[in-house]
This record gives sequence, C-alpha cells and structure tokens, in this order.
Amino acid sequence: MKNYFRVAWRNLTRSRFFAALNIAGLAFGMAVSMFLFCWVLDEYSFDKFHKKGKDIYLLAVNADWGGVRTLTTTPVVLGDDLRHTFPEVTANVQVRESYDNLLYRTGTNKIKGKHVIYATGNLFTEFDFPLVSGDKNTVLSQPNAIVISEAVAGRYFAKEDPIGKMITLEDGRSLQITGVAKDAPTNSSIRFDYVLPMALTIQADPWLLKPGSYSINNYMVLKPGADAAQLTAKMQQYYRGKNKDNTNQLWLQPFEDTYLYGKYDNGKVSGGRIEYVRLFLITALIVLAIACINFMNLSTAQASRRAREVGVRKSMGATRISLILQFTGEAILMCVIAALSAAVVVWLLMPVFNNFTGKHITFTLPVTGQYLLLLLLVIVVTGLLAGSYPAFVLSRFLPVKVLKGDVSTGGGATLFRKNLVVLQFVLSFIFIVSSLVIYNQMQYIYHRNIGVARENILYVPLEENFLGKQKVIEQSLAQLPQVQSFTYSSFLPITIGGTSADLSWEGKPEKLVLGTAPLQVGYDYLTTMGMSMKEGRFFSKDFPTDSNTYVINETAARIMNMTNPIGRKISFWNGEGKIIGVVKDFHFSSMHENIKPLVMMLTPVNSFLMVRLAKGDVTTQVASIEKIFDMMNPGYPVEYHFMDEAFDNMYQSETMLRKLAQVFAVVAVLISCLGLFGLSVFTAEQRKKEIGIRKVLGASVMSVTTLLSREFLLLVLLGILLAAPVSWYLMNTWLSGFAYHTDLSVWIFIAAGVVAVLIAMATVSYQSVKAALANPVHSLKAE
Amino acid sequence: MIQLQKISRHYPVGFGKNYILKDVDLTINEGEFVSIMGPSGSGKSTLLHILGLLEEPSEGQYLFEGERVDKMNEKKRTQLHRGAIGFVFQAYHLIDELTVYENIETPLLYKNIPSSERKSRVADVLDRFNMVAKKDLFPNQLSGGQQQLVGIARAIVAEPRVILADEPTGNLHSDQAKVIMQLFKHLNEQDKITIVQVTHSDVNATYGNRIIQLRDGNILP
Repeated sequence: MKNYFRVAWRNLTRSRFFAALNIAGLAFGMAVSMFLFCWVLDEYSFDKFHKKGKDIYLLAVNADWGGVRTLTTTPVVLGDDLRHTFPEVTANVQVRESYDNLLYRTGTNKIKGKHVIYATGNLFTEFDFPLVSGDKNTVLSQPNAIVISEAVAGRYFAKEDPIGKMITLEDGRSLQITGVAKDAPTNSSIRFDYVLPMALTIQADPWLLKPGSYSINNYMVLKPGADAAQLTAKMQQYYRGKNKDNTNQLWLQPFEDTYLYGKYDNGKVSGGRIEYVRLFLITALIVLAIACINFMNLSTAQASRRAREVGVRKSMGATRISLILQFTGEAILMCVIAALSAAVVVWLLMPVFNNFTGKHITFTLPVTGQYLLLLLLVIVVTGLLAGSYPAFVLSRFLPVKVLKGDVSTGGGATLFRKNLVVLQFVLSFIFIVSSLVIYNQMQYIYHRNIGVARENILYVPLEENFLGKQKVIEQSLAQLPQVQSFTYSSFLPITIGGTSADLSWEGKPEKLVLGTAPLQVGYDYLTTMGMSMKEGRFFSKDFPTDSNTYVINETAARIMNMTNPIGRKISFWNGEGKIIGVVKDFHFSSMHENIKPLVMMLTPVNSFLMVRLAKGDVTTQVASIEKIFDMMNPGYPVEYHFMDEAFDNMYQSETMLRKLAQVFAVVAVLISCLGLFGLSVFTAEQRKKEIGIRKVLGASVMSVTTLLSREFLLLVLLGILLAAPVSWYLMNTWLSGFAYHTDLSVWIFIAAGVVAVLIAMATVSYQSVKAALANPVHSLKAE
Repeated sequence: MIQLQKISRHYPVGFGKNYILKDVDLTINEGEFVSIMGPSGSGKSTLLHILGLLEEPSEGQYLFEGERVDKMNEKKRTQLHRGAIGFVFQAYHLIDELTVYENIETPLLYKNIPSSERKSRVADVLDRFNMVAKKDLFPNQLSGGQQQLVGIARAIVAEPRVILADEPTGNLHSDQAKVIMQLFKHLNEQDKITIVQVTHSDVNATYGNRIIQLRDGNILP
C-alpha cells in the first residue's frame, strides 16, 4: 500500500507537466461544479429548518376566472373556518406580507422600516423562529404589540433593552415592542424585520374579513402524520357544501415545497425555482463530466509510459485486481489534491459567488458538515469515474507484448479517447451556442422598442398621506427646470399586473371571458411615458368629462373588432363610457408574454408618482427633487427608483442565465482545451520518431504541423456537427418561452463553430509547431 | 521439473499458420543450467515466455513439477509467478519510479510477506550483491551492469526454483557480462536454482551445463 502511494507520488512529481495539467483541469471543473452544488444545496435547504415543517401546508385555491388561476393568498375567514371544522388541523398560522413601509420614530430617530409582516401569534410557536427575548406564547396577543428582528434591535436599540419600549407610527398610532426575534435564516421564505399582530391589519382594513378577499397566507398545521390528501378531499366537500355555485377548488401544498414549486398551471404545480435548480444540477454534472473526461484522456494517453511498469509487475506476480487498485488509488490521490485546491478556490471566491447570485452561503475551511460530505462525494465519484477506465486499460496490458517493446495502447483505447474529445467539444459547443443565443435575445429585448421611453423616468411609490401635500409638491416639481413632466399611475407601464374580466362592449360574445389589463393614469401620462396615439386623443384637462371616458390600446381595439373605435361605447370600472383614443401597443409585461388588451382610465392620483427628467446626467438632477420628495414624509429617508432599473429587474433571471451561460462556455472550452493540449503534447511525444524520420526525409515544418493538427481539428469538427442539432433544439425550446424573440440564425452556429475551431487550433498548433521545429537528430538518437 | 510435450506456437497468416515453435519436446530437470541458443527469429524468446507462463502455447502440454500449467487459470498462474519463477530481462525492466530497495521488495509485496521478513530478506540480498550503499538510488542512477544486478536480485529475492533469463547480458559489455554469468553459475551451484537462459553468446552458453539449439521453431538434436 505504501509502495503504491510512493509510486503514485513519484509519478506525479516526475511527469509534473501532465500531473499539473491533469490536476488543474480537474480542480477547475470541481470548483465550478462545487459552486453550483452549493447553490443547489442552499435552494433545497429552503424552509427545511422547521421542526413541524413536514406537517405544515399552505392553503391554496384554484379559482376559475376565465382560466384557472391558483391563489396561494386566501381569505382570513376560510382559514379560520377550516381550522375550527377539522380536528386534523391543530393550528392555522396566518401571515400577511405588507408592501408598505413602516414609518415610525423612536426618540428623535425617524425610521422607514422594511420587511413588515402581519401574523397571528402562533407564528413563533408553530414555526421555528426563536425569540431572543419576549415570551413566544404571548408576544403578539395585544393588538398594539410589535416584534422586531435582532438586526433592527441592534441597529436602532443598541444601547438599551428594546422590550417594553413604545414606538410611534407616523400616522399617530403607537406600538409596544414585546419581543425580539432572531433574524430569520437566509434560507427561509418567510422573512421579516417587523412582525405586527394580524388583528392590527384587520382593524385597519376590515375588508380583509370578507369571504372574497384573497389576501393572506394560511399555513395549516396538521396533526403529525395526518393524511393531507384525505383531508383535502374532506375540506373540498365541506367547502362546496357551503355554496353550491362555488366552482373553486381547495388544496394543500406542503409548506416545504412552496419555495421551489411556486409556479402553477391549470391548478397544478408546474415548476418554479426547481427548474433552475435542475438546470444548475445538470450543468454541475456536465462540467464535472467534462473534467472527468479530461482526466481519463490524459491518464490513458500517458498509459504507454506506465505500460512497462505494468508488464514488470505482472511478471512478478501482480494480479489484475492489485493493478486496478493501484491505478484507481493514484486517480483518487489526484482527485484529493484537485478537490483540496478546488475547496480553497471555492472558499476564496465564495463572496464573489454570493454577490453574483444573491445568496448567503458560508463555506469555511476546513470544510465541514454537508460540504465535507459533498467534497468526499465529488472525490469518490470523480476518482472512480475518471480512474477506473485508465486502470482497466492499463491493467489489461499483456506483459509479453509490453516487455517486447510494443507499448501501443491499442486501437480501442485510441478510439475511445477520440470519442471523449468529441464528447467534450459537443458539450462545449452547446455552451457556446447557448451563451450566444441568450446574449442575442437579451440584446433583442433591450433594444426592441417597447413603446415606452423608459430612460430618465424616476418614480416614487406614494403613501396614503400624500393627498394632503399633493398641491405643494406638484407646484414645486413644476418649478424645477429639469422636470419635463410628471404624472400618476396605478402600475409601472412596463409591469402592469392584474387582469380584469369586467370589460364589455356592444356585440361582445356572451361566453367570452376576456382578461383585460386595467391601468389608472393621471393627466400627462402619455407625454411623460413617451407613448404615442394611434388615433383619437389622450385624457386632457381641457375636457372636464374625461373622467368617464376610456383610452384603449391597439390590441383591445382589434379584439373588440372595432375598425373605428373612437366614440364607441364600452363599459369598464368607471361605468359606461366613450372611447376617446387608441394608444399604440406597448409592452407592459415581460417579453415572455404577448401584448394583452389594455384599458386606461383617468384617476388623477394613484400608487406611483412618475417624473420625466431632462436628458443628461441624472444624478445631479436628483438632489433638488429629493428635497421635494422629502416633503411627503419629512425626516424619513426618501425612496425613489428609476424605471430602466425596474425594466432590468424584470429580466433578472434571464440576465443571470446569460452570465452563467457565458461563464460555463468559458469553463467548458477551457477545460476541453486543457485536455486537447495535453493530448497534443502526448501525440507529439509519441510520434517524435516519426516526425524525426519525416524531417530527415525532407518534410517541411508546415507539412508536419498540418499532419499533427489535422486529426484533432477533425475531432473538433465532428463534435460541432453532432452538437449543432442538440443545441438548436435546446435553444429553440428556450426561445419559444418568449412571445417576442430573435430568430435562431445559422450565423450563430457558424460563429460558435469558428470560435471552437480557432480555440482548438490555437491549442493544438502550439505543440505541433514545436514538435515540427525540433531537431530530428535528438529524437532519433534517443531511441 | 519442466516438461514440454509437443508444444507449438503459431500465428494466423492469411489462410495458413506461421509456426514460431513446432512440436517442441523438452525436459529440464531440477538443478540444471540450460542455455537456449539460435539465430534471431528461431523462437528462443517465445519458448522462454512459454516456460515463464507469459505466453500460452497454441498446442501441446506443459507440465511444471508434474502439473499441467498450459490450461491453468489466471489465479493459479499468478501463484506460480509469485512462488516458483523469477525473471531476468535483457532490458532489466526495473520500475523507474522505485528505488533499488523498493524494486527488490516488490515481488515480496505480491507474495504478502510480512514487513519485518521483507526487510531482512531484501537486506540479505543487498548484502550478498554488495549493493547496500546503493539501495536508495533510482535505476537511472546506476550503470547497466548494476541495473542487471538489481534485476537478478529482484528475481531471486522471492526464492524461486527457476530463473528464466532472456539475454541477461545482451545490453552489457563483456566485463559486466562475466560478473553476471558468474553470479548465475553461483546461484545454480550453491542455491540449487534451476536456470534457463536465452543467449547469443557462445561464451555465456558455456557457463551452463546444457545447450539447446533452436532453429526455425525446432530443437536441433
């Protein structure tokens, strides 16, 4: 055993170049795949830290509103009712996420609190969100109680114990801090800095108690081991029994699944983040596979150097098993070295990775816990995978042949090696094409005229108390030279959420349920957003009756079959009214979706104040505007955003995918080239004598170089040929997820092919030229 | 000790066969020192490889100490390699990555001999061959003659009953060759090891007590 390790080690140090190449390739691949595995592990760990987690279910309702939609926010009363009717349900935790900020003061501090949730008190008893101080059974029992996170406590109440302190909200109410909760782990889907009692939000918004208000999360805690499917059926029966006309359907989704499986189609789970998790997992395995292939390639290529050793050992009584063990052991030794280097790389670069993916993965050295397990798994799997093939090939050598001087690895092994190179380039090419296509599509999205001039638009979400200050603020804004215009709107024009089935017009087919996007806008909306009219006019202060007229988009006109829509009557949220104009279609959701019909109505003040700034440097213009915004809630931090950033956020996952595809294209190509380079070095070495003889016979450097490079280039070309249809299929599928997308042009494939060939050529030719330039005298004398 | 009965070895050539050895009958008794001679391509090495179980005969029977070995399975053959047969090669075939000491130790490792006994046996052999000072050197730090000494040391350390040597002095000049041949003679006479060598040299052949002439795959009477 010691003997084996000694030989392994000496082999490593003797052929330093190959060993370094081999280990570097493997370490590189391992590091990249370890990052991905860490990400995947983190995703899988979401919400798994609750002791009762397996028995907690999220109540969901499938509602048929012209197409089944799954709602995971459900009525307060429904949750209460089910909790009291079914003994299997031991508790119902209700959570309402608040999108409003909590404006409050403590002493002289004015604070804008974010991450506010309303919850029933059992949030702290049923889930595992431990309290640092306060009694978990009673913290939220008073309607004026508030629990703050440890982070908030540290930031604003560092000097004294916050428990029992009163905080005063901007609207005059005051709350008493009854508990400090440990910060929710980063892998929790329920996150908070402020937890207020559910009763408080119900007090403020009594409509929450209506049976039709789907606005909170009902987490049903079942008896340990209760059968959720059976219970669902019983609940459904009960639910239908209360109202015969009700076509909605109840179901329970396991709480631990909600994070990864958050996309629903037709009332069933159809994916969600799990799609990315799978994609990452596959990518990790592919990268690891490419690295393994490299390892196998380089090891078998070196085989002839080891062949004599095998022959000698066999003639001295070594069994095949002992040789296989020896070579596998060597592979594992290499893997261990590679894995340790990879671990160091991962440790060093984890902050960068976290920054890039928005994760909070902590990876420490020495590696512990699940990551150690992961590391060991990677070592064993790659060691066995990458080591077994060379081991079997090497141990198969017949001593007689080898000792007679015949060390060719045999046609089979060479063919196998060639196949591996082809496979590597298939995978690399797919990565290259993917990154090009994704890049192309992103360029397309960013440069397509979406019908909204999204640059230089600043927007502010408004609080309820804005109305009182509206006049002053409007006047001040109008005085600023850099403000070109401003308006109000219920949604950003690029992300109009919500659909309504309320649109009707004369001649509408009776059965038709049409999802229409409702948009409430202020005057000047058209100019501020840089939109243009197809026909008719926009809302104007010159026409006082505009408040019950409508402006529709082209798509709406087309769907309603109106060739001459101006003056036609439709009825929508403001009752029956005339169409006064048709706005040109613009993209008001992501390019994944087709443009839907849209109806605009005039509502002077709304959720967002939007300001168009003059062209030029935005940052200098903002200072004076900030002062005006400060008037809204004096003393509190001013919050404003830019619309082009909001647009970017819409394509966050695509942008991440683009970056990832680029990174992996580079990684795959690099590792593959490392392998190709090693092989070319080896071939040049092996054919040294042949090259020497050819040169003595008068071959030129050029002809020798071509001779050596041609074979590899053929392999790369074959790889490209095989990969083209696969990557075409993959990218076609991806692009078809966009309603608006670029075409998959032949040029992308040609470009990717040229890139792959050029890189491969550069890799191989260096060695070929070197071999071709060598003085034949040396190579021939060496024999 | 060794009995070959009608041993043949052939390769297919086109539709026919090309015989390297044809109907070889040969008996080698314990304690003999046999030299196999013959021109290039006469089948010397093949014969030696068959004797050493590195190659299988196409036809015929091979009895080693009365046991049929031509049809032995891999496992039993390995047993024989480990216990009864030692090899010495023309090109020495030492393992480059191992030191002199480790090279000599290797056959003992495959025989699963405990560490303390391994140490004493390797030390014995080193002592006998006057190579104690060189035990930590690597093969490429030795001269050809010294390398072959290591090769022989490695062959005898497992105490085989037969040593098969394939032109053991082929790569050495005559002074070195003499040392090696005297060593073989000594091993044969003192340690009673049966030795079969393939050689081109008449001088070397005279160290043995029997010469077998091979020509075109046949033993000349």
